[in-house]
Amino acid sequence: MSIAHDTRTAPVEHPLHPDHAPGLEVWLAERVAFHLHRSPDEIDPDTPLADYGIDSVAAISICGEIEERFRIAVSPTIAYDFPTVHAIGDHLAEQLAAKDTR
Amino acid sequence: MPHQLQHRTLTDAVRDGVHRHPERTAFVYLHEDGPDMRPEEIGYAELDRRARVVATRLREAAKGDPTRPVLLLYPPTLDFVTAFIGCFYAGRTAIPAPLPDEPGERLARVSSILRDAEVGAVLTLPEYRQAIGAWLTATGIPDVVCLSTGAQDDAGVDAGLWVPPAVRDTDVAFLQYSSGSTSEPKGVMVTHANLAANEEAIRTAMRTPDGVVTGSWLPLYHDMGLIGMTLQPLWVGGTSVQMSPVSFIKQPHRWLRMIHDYRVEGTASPDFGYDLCVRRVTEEQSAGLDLSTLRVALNGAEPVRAGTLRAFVQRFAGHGLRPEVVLPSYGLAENTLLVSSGDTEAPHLELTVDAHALERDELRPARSDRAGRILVGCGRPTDTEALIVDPVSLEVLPDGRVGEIWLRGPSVAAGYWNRPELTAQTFRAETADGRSGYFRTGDLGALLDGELYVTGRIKEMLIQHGRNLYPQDIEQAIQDSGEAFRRGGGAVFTVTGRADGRSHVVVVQELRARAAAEDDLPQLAAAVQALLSRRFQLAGVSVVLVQQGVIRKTTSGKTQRTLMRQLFLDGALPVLHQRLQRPVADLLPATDVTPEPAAASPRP
Repeated sequence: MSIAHDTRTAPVEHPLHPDHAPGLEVWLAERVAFHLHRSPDEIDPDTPLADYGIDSVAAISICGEIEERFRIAVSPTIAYDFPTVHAIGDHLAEQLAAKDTR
Repeated sequence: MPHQLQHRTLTDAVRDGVHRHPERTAFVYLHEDGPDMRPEEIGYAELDRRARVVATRLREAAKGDPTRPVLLLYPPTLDFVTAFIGCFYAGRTAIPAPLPDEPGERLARVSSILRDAEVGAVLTLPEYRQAIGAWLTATGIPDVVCLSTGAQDDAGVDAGLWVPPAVRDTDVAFLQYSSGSTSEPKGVMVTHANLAANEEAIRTAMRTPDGVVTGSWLPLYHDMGLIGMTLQPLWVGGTSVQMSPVSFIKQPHRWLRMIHDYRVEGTASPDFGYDLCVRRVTEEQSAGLDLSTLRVALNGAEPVRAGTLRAFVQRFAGHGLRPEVVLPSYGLAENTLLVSSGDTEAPHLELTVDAHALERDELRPARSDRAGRILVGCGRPTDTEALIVDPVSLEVLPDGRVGEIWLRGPSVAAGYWNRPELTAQTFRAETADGRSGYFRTGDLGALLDGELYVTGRIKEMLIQHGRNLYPQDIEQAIQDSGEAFRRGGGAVFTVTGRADGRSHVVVVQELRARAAAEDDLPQLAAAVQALLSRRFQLAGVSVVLVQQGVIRKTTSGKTQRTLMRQLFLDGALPVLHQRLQRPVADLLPATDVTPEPAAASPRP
């Protein structure tokens, strides 16, 4: 897993800039909780989603929600490739920053 | 009622469409393009031309034995459809299979099909050809031709060289590998006559109009997606619209949007797809949707839940969805696809029966003082004759009695590929009074006034002291009994004790996160035992409590009880807490399991 912090060159005012990743994580945790039938406060950002018992339908659903919200294509296996809310958040922030500077 | 066969083979049907309306769209595939969907279409004339090219290339490439089947490894796009029709045009037996695009289970499955079917050729897309070639080499099966069917591969091949194949009705048109396990693949042999019979049965039962538009997200290598959603429209000169299951699960409203955009008249899904729409489609996403073109929405998974049908109709009634559109049905690959379905012009039937009588294999009206169970009617058998037979004595049972569903008719497949013994056992069954030639489905059900009610699978049935108990009933009772137990997160099965040779019931139940963290687990396990003793007179049930996500399900949402049983016996379940009877504990690999005393009865 590579979280390339040195790519943080996008304009700061973008709400999805990596510096705003905490906001992104709150949203992510909320959606993850919905699909895993839990309450958001049960989702710890550094606990692997596998520990909460994620199945393929939930994983694909989370992927679909990310695509819909941020209008980017992400891999259906994102929840396996980046196994925690924190890791997914960092990965997304990086992708969105790259999209911005393009 | 006899009806005139519209076409003898699928080839005839497609060729007829080509002559009548060459420009009409035959197939549309909706690709995911970021968050949006991008349609790719093919008309009848172009589908025909490309299929003729595939057939010509197959004939020219055929080294060795041209009677060996052709394995199709494609994403569910229009390339798959042209290659599939190309096999028909070549008179070769096709095998639709999932593209092994990821290592693991899927690759193992396709490898086992390759070996079992003695595949002679593989068709795929150019981008997968190299990887599939390497895989073929690794499997060590000689003389397998691998062709890719991209535009460049097909360029320069003259479609005019195509010679229509001479096929007999009894030739195997394709093999359906949907019902067997990876270790024991079973290829259902669907003949040209079977396919013609079932397409006609579907057309009659659904009152499919010429030029129908169907649409779904079902995989094309499974019977419902292939026979029902892709070949039925081709059979009547219509249009099939498809997207992938992944596209649907990501955004369930895409399915409904497809129905709206293409004015879809017929769709199909297992119960879980309708449930996903109810739970996940927001008001915002459904705003402006018009579903009034829909005439048939087949619900074909087992079990069909009355609650799902009701919730779906209620949620989308405001969008023009009529209640009679939702059609419970029963089908399986061994009958090509459809066995029975409800009437497209009338609401489906529901029957509330006495749960105690059902345990003794009888359908009786529910009594107010006892538990009832709602059964959803799966309609009347189409051209297939259905009998209800006692699976042990093989006696034919009267109306209202539950037994194994046996089938006979023109849609019943020719058997399992290369499995003469299994075929003889399951496809050539004979009743006690000497009626022969029936297929044993392994499903349990009853007929009442001509309506078929499917109640469960024999293999999963728990037989305790001569009573038949349905695992789904026990699972539901547990989940209804307390907040701690996760809905849909249970699996009930039996294991046979080594020493006593008796059958013991095991419950694996997921807990909600809060209960797992805060509740008294021994007390929860004891409560389950007490409940099952009280409700089902089951003493000494073994209870395994696990966290959420442990219960395995198929992609269509069916609980995999046989797999859960295996995982349990392998000691592979991450257990939060368990109470096991000694004969059950003795079956497990040696661990730190502390069994209850052998004679233990459930504590209150």
